[in-house]
Amino acid sequence: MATNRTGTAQRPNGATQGKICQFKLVLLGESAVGKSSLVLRFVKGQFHEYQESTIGAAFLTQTICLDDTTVKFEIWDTAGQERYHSLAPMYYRGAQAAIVVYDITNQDTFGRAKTWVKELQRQASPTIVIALAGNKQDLANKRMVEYEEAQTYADENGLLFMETSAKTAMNVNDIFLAIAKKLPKNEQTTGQGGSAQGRRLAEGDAGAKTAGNCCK
Amino acid sequence: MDFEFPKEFDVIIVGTGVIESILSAAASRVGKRVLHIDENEYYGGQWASFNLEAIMKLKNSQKERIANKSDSNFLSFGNDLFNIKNIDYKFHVLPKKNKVCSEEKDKEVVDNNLQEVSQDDNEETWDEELLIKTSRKFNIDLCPKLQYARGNFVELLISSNIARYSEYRSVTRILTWLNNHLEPLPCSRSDVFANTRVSVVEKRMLMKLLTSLNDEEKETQNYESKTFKEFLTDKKLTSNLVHYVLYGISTSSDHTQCKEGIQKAKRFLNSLGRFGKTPFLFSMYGSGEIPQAFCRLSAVFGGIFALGQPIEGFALNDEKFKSLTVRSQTIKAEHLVMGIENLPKQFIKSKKHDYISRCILITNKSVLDCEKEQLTLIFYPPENNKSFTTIIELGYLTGTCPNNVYLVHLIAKQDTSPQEDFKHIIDKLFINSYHEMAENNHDKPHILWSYYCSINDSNDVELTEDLPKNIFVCPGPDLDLDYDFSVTKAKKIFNAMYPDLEFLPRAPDPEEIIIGDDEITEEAKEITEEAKEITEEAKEITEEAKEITEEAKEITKEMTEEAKEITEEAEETTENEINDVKNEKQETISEERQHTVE
Repeated sequence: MATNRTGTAQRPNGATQGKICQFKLVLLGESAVGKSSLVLRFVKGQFHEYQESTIGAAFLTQTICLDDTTVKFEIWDTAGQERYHSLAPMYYRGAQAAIVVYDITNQDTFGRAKTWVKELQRQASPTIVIALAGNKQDLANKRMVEYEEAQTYADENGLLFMETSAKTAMNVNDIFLAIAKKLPKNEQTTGQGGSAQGRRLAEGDAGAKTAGNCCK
Repeated sequence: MDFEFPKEFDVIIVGTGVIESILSAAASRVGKRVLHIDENEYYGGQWASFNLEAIMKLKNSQKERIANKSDSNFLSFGNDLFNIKNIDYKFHVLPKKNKVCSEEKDKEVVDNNLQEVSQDDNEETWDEELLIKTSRKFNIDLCPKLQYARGNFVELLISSNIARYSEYRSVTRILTWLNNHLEPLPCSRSDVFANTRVSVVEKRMLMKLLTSLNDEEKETQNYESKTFKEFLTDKKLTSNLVHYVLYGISTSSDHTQCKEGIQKAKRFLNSLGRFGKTPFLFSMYGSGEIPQAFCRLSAVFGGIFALGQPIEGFALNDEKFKSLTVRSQTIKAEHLVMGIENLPKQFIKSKKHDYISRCILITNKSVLDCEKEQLTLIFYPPENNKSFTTIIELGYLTGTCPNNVYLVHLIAKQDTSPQEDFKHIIDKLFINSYHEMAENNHDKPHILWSYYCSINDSNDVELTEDLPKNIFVCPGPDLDLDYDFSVTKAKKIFNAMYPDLEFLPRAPDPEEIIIGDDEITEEAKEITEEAKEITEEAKEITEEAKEITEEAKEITKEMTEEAKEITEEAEETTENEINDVKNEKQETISEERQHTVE
């Protein structure tokens, strides 16, 4: 496929435009730390004090533009399966990025976040970009997890780290942007058949070229 | 864990096997309140995938829970009839190499890039310690499945939009054991013509046969009670071709009935040319992902999930399921769905049990070396009274094993024991002893680790008549390559519970979802209501306007008529008056005349 001098890809319809990279991003963390709120703030710019999980949403999408690259996030929420500690491992399979969220006013959720980081390091793709988000920064007067403690932990484990507030929108876009910057965009991550990624099945998807139906 | 479940659900599902999970998704999808629990800490039950250490910890039998005998209306879950049996595993490599080697190995594990080293170097490096170290890179299926690209299961995945939850790999080649070696099975037109082992005449015969299978009725007229093998032999196919079609394309055995053989062949042929070179797909990270995908859909639509639950039992009332007790909490529901391994023994009628023989191997290379990593399906024909065996060989790209090893699954209907059932195959395809390895036999893959077990095929198990009508039981794994039986069973149970509701309608795409928070929904609702009211009002006004118009029309009509009458009257009056005037005039004239005369 021809590429022009700026390295942008030639699209099938002939128009040239920046690269589009699609990434699966998963949210992890204890119940009620604000995972869904972060997504909702990022995707819709909304915040609701009593956010219920969004019924019927397998994942939400949002795009970020970085120079000549469009980064499209497929953001997966836990659908409440973490509530009774029953999150299916399938959920974070093939994820290229993860935000592990804890609540800065609750020390237990920070402990749980560490467990999730460990789980991802052992089980997820070795190249996964992990960000740690200390959410509910607007409640800093009730803080139970020190900023420095989390920063040190993040540094030791090679994680991006920010304290966020889905309520005030502080650092919400920034953390997604930081992840987008860190993700590798050189390889073709959008199409199928890449070496690391498998195939997503869809209607009308046919490898008509690779095999002829012999009974016709 | 300190929590409580809600007190009432529409359906409680116990066990996370494939059928239970499909039902969970289906019920939740149509708005039913679902509680889905499992005693295990993992999803999938006997359909699950395990890492290397976890599969070696599986037990031959679970202890049966004892019901509280004092109350015949309170029953405990579970029976010991469907457990995994004959588990036997061992490492075929040294526990640990000498020090110099092991240091090199450690380096490899740490640095992923180093894993690209050539296979020859690597062959020497695997030992027990290293395999255990990479345990979590393994996803070993108890019950591996492949999916027909146009099969019922894939169609369901796509139509329900569950397909988007997971990734798949195409099976890249199909081999069969013929004339004492492995050879590619020609299955598509291009395969048939590219195959150098098939003569030109055979190619024509094969193409003709494959085309004619579509004309099923005509072809099978005289084979009602005959086998597919007889049908093929009568077609005067060469023995090689009979082999390809019978043991390959139709995945049949010598005794498969003609009609069934043709159906199976059609299932295979119909799935060609959709995703990749062969008709088959494999779900990445193992078949254990499949139940999880359905459970996720269930959760996305509000289903509540809890693994590792100490379930005490369930209560009946009036011969119907009433409630379930878990961690001392009693939860009511209209229906109870459970995996057959959770059913109290008293409801199981049949004593006879069929088993599936399983063997799992970790090997150091593929059975048929190739430049690119292959995902291989091997159909091993019945031989010397041994059953037809399906072999699936998975590499690193499937996400089921580390780089530079292969995971090999053997599946067959159990005849004697797993070891006995597969011995002839293992001996032919692999090297499994230190002796043989020492002989420097580099052709065949070495077995690094082996695992044998028997899995109960509970699909034909009969249940007793007194099973409460609102309890539904899901059988465990079966011998089919795909999940067709599971889909059929799940649909049947769903229709029994909810005859008027749709089975897994398409879930919306992210773009179609209105985010949703109650406030907005409420507002939207209010606006809609208002709009409705306004519309109603507008309608009323229109009606009124119509009435007024009608009235106006009538009035106009009346007035016009009146006007007419008046005019007419006026006309008459005028005429009369004129006449009067005339008369008067005439009178005057005549009077004047008289005067004049006088």
